[in-house]
Amino acid sequence: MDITSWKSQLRKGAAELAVLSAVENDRLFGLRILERIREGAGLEITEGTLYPLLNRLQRDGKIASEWVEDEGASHPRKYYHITQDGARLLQEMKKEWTGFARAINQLLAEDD
Amino acid sequence: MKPSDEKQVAEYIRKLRWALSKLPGQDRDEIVNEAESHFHERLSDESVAFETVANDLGHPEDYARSFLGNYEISVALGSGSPWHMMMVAFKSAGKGLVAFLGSIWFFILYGSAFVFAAMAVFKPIFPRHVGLWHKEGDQLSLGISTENAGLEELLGYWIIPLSALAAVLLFVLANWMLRVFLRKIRR
Repeated sequence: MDITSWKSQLRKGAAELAVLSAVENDRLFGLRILERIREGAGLEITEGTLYPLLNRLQRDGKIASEWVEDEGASHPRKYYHITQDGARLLQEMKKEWTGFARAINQLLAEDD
Repeated sequence: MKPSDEKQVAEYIRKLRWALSKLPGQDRDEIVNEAESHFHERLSDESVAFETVANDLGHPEDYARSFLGNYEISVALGSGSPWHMMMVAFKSAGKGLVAFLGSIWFFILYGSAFVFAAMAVFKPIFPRHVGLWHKEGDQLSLGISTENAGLEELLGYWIIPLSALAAVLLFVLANWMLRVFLRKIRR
């Protein structure tokens, strides 16, 4: 496995966590979610990955959406927010992620 | 948005709508409207080219495919129907070795459940042809057969509840594994 493929798998696994986390406390539309993930987590997720993922999370009841006509915007925007079910999943994911990252960091520190 | 961009966006949206024609109207409209909104949002910055936005989304057919795969699996999972889920799993079999092997595995599991169920049903009708037989060389033969007449049959009518139980357990196991499998192959 080369580094590109490994990075791609890592991103894919983290994408769901990043999206749920982005809409945990805010209502955001697609482009803002993308910006938050890219700027906040440095994750390079493309639009072609984000929207199908949002669609799936919504179908699974983890997020919900509504169309809003913002003042000054030329087009209605689809805003997403987390549901109770999604918030529960996010808490579990955060716990898993933190534990996993701690274990890997410890392993790497031992190697040094 | 520049007038030249508007034409290209309209063309992209037309192709996307066509590629999503398998989806129910409301689901299709949601995806198409969101893509359109995304184009408007990004192209409101005049330094951004249409091609950049279109490349980030992907070719309309590829972009549509990423929704269709998810959609079929989600609908199958939502229906809870083993038949529907199996059909979607088989359809995905061409998408890679794991999906292919998974489909064969579920065919075997459901097939075995079906055979056990058939044994429970046919035992009272053809008692001599359904059973667990003791063959030469300490070999055992289980199932439905016309060739074991005269051999020692070990379970008698106990085979009915045992086969029914095996059928139910295999069916439940196959259903559970199939749901996990479909969630895993869902993009």
